[in-house]
Amino acid sequence: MLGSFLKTFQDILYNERFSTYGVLQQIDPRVKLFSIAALVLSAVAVRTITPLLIVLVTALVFCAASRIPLRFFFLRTTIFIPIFACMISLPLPFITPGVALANFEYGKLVVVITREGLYRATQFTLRVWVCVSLSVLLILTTRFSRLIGAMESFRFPRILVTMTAITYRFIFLFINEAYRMALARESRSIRKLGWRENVRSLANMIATLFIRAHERGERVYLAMMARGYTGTLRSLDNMKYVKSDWIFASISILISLAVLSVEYLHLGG
Amino acid sequence: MSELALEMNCVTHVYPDGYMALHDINLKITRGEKLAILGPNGAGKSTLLMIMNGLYKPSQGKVTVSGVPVNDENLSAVRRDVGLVFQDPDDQLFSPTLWEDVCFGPLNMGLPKEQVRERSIDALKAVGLEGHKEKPPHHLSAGEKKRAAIATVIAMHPKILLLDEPTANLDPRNRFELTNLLRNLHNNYHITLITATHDVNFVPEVAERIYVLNKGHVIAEGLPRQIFSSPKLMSEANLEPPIVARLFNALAEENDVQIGSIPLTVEEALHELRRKIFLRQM
Repeated sequence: MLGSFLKTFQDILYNERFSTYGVLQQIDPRVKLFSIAALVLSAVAVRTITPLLIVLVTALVFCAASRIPLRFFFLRTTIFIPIFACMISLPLPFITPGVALANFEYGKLVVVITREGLYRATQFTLRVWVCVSLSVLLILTTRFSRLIGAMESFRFPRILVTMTAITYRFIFLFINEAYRMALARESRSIRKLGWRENVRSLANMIATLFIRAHERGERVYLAMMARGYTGTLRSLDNMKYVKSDWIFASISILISLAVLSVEYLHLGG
Repeated sequence: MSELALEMNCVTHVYPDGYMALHDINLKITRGEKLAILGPNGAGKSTLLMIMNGLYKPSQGKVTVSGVPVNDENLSAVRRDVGLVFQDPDDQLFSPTLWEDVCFGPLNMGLPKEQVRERSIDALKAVGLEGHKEKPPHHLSAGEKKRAAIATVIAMHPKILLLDEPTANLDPRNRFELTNLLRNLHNNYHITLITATHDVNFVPEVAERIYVLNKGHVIAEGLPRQIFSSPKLMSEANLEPPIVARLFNALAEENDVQIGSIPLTVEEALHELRRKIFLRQM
């Protein structure tokens, strides 16, 4: 069970990038990072559903223009939505005061679902989905090393850039390791394990993985030192802006502004 | 008088938990030499290499690289001269792409960008991976990863190359290519090669001299032929002679065959067999 979950996770992550022939793939990574950040910020700043839908449509248009299969994109972006956003927003319909849509009575306990609550839950889930979609779009169309380069040129703190780069590199290794451990465990389990046993062995696995990650970290650091690392990551890339970069940035900023004006100037009614 | 590449005097290393990994090690390695540190698992080989590169500070004793003592002041100079290839390439390759990993060392040396580029391309060509430069390391095979790890080190143009169990996890083909790669590096760049391994079949291919390490002690030093012809030494160090040598030892024991010197590699064995057949035909 755990093995198949890890395998799916692995497959999704491994499908990292799509051909270089789409629109977004041609844009300078710094421009992309900036534009996507602007759109994410505008999505976070609004409280109604209409402007969120505008951002979502924008993301889908970008996705199509970048020749990413929509079905894949849907799968990739929705896999985390039910897990996190829905879980968090689950209580909202019940605890938000407002117009009641439905009442449930269990003896003395009365549970009310409100319209405002439902709206808030939808809005929250949608917002998470939009933000996830935008970030996935960025990841899918940009080579990770160039994204790191973009972070560097925006003067993100060194330590953050280095950590991001290394996390990306080793996440695959640890998923592989976890997958192998799960397989090795499954190969030795003759009968079906009970719920309690499953949880216990999972806990053991996580602990082992943690220790291995720690030891790996030590060795990686030693290997970096062996090659003269003194605390600063240097880069070789020189990036240049071209015309299409300016156009893309302008479009993204305009959409972000439009979204904000729909919300705050009540243009959408 | 040949120049000393690396020297260790009375080096002892104790880990923080009290485990004594190395005990009173004395080594002298001349420039351009091909040397093996042969020992079973847990003999202290990796610790020894870490000390040579200045990653670990020995608890006692002195290490000199090209006549310069290894200490905090000249650590970066030592690391420029002494390249270390780790056993697990996944420890060494940490960047999003292979290219960045190869550039990492030269960039740390503060070289001009043009030179960094040139060296990195040369290093990738030397290991036959120039077509893979944009690949992320997790998309490389085990053999490619090993060669990539070597490229990241040789891009720094080290004078001394340390390899920790280089044949671990390699298939026969990759192992053969690794042997050739190391020979080429030695011949073309006159690099001093120090290989730490328990792979007795690999040692005669890449070493002219051997130090045998066991439980933190150097228990023998000599030419491969001397080392592998001592059954007592081999069993003491949990090792055995290369498979070719075992075959010829068995033949010699049967007494009807006189063998001048026991061959250690397939080439040597072939030579010896041809000589025998040739003599018999005369």
